[in-house]
Amino acid sequence: MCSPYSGKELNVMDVSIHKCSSCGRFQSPPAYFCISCKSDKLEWIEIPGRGTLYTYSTVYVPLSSHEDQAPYTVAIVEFQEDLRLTGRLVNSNSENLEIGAQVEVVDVRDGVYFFDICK
Amino acid sequence: MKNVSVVGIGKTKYGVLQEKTFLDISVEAGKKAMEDAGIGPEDIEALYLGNYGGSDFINQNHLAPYVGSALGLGVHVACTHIENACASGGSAVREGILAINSGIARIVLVIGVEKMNTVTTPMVTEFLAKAGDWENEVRVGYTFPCAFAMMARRHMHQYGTTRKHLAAVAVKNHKNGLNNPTAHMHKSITIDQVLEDDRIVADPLRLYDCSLITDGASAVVLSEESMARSFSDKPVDIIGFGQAMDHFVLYQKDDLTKFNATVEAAEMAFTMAGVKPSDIDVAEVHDCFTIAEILAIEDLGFVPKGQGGPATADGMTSHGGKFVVNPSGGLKAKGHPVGATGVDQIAEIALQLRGEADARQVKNAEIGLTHNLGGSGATCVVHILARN
Repeated sequence: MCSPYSGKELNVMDVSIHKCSSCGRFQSPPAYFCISCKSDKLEWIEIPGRGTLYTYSTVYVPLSSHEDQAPYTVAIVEFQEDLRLTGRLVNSNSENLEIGAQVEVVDVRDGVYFFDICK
Repeated sequence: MKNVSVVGIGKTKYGVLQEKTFLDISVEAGKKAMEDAGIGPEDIEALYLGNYGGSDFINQNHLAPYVGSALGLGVHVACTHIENACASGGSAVREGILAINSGIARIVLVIGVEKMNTVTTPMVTEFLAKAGDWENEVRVGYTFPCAFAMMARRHMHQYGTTRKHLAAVAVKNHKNGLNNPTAHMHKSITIDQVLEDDRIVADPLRLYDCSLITDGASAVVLSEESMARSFSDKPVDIIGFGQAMDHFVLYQKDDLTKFNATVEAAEMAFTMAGVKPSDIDVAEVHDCFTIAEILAIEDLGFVPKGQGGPATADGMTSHGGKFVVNPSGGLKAKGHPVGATGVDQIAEIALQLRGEADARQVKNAEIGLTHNLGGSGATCVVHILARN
């Protein structure tokens, strides 16, 4: 599902991110006050949903509400230095993952990001 | 400002206490603490109750007067419930101190309590996850083991920490737990047992990396320092404390290998106490997972960042080491009745400084520290205690 990483952006899903209109700092999760300059002027912008794997864990003992999905893999993805998002990794578990791998957003369902490793 | 001493200690057995109710254990711990101070319910001027999940685990809210009433406290006694996730107990102690500092009360009872073994493990996991951010983390599937697993993986990546380092925390704390009669688990384990156990909770954390689902209660009586000797031959003074906050959401933290709230709370406590990390003889720290103890001893300033794993494996934090961490067995072996933990840490350090910790006694302990963490580090409470 990943686009080939050839410099040309193909099928990369955009994601909406909250950004401070005063100092430009990204806010994730969305904020009431900028976590950097404390301004309350914030806006939504779209950025390409591609980043690197920052950390991850495959969950074997789930929440009762997620029992039918376990084991599943949760990840934190770094999009740029001051922006990370969290979500679920599809087609992966801790066995075949590595910090720093290229990751793309492939879906957003009920407010949850789904990531896949770029192969 | 009035200084504060610990003059009474009481605790129940920790474990799966099916035959006892929430009130049974709350009252047992509170009564023992009052007896230890040589006082009765009529002497208590304020009650602070640390509890996390009463409304989930036992279908009960309005918990502080629920317990205060069962203890027979007077109608003039303000009873207040403190909920700060796993730091509920530490925050309750801090509120008790502030009540005495301000002069509004002279004798305060603080009880920490949790009754968790009322539901299945997935339900416990779900209830505990409510201390995280539901919209941004929990609905993704975060559990607390998962959050600490992701921190562990970053620590391994940035500092070369290994599963063997994590295992050293579990082995040490299980060994310490053997000396604690009220601990949930009395079971010696080996590094290989921790490494080879096939019950993965949230990779890389396995069963022995995790604390226990425990029922239990602990209590302390606090008084003005000037009157402490009328209650106890060996009062223990609270000489410094701090509570701090960090981003609520884990992935927003600038560095997943560091708890800013711990660093901040420790700095406040050390400054107030006028001591430094190297002055601490004994510490009870929040080892909800093995990685959490490694992060704690680094963030408290006992060892440089990244050295927590090797320091533990080298025995620096074991009995006879440079500074002893979790001689009680910690959350790992003593158990982690969430709201009770922060209060029990105070009780344990007070016992150490009185010289009454029996087989777990750290020789000549004069200054001790407690570290109680809430959620994935959004709250941290640190206390520093010393012999009167």
